[in-house]
Amino acid sequence: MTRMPDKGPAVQPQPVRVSRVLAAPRELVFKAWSSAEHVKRWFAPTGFSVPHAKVEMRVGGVFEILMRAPDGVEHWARGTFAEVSPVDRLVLDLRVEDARGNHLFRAYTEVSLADAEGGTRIEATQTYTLLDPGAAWMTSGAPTGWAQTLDKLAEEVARMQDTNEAKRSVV
Amino acid sequence: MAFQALADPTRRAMVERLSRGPTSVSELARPLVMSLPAVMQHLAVLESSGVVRSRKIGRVRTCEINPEALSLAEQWINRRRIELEHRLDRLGQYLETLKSVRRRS
Repeated sequence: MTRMPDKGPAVQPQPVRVSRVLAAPRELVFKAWSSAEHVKRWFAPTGFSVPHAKVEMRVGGVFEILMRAPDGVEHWARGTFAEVSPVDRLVLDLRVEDARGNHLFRAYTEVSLADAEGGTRIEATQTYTLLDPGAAWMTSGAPTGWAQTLDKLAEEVARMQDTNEAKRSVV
Repeated sequence: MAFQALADPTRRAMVERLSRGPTSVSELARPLVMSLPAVMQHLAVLESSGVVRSRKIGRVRTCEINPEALSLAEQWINRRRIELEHRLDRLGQYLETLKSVRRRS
């Protein structure tokens, strides 16, 4: 991507913070991040699908997601786990590239879980290091996508709980 | 009207990007996929104001600048500037009149 004209020196975008209370125990919310099988069901905004995911939940392990937009265009988010502390905290060091593989952003994503009235409070903070000044404006829209993604995470933990419920009732 | 659409810094950045040529919605939001839903909302505002138009070919929606809408906004600002200049001209003429009255008295 080429540079935006006359933007002066690159200003680093503000971190994006999102928070939500999910009606599930911390163990379950943590588990929803732990495998490709779960992550594929929720790690994308509304209308997106996740045709590919690779999740190795350990420090240095791969976290790789392919998101397909409603118009069919595919977007990669690739990175590694920088911190894994069950069932409190996860840190993902994600790199964002354009279609030609140029590095545009580093998105350092910190996720914390805490007990809360009604379930678990999840808080995600994404801190950006801009490598292409022309892409700076894009982060301003990130809270919308994150809010939609947390909606899908809420649905996924509800589904996981139902499945657990079903298993228990059989036994 | 274009001004409301252009009041937002993100939408101005999108217009700047589109000024370099038409692009797909996904391409516009690349690389940050999390911002794509917001980009779609901003596009809806830009489209309803007429500043941007889009067409769908297959599954891909392509957006481009509508130069006429920007030209209308430019003409509106120009008319205000011309009005202001005329008013200043009239003020100048009046001050000249006052000066010549004072000289005569």
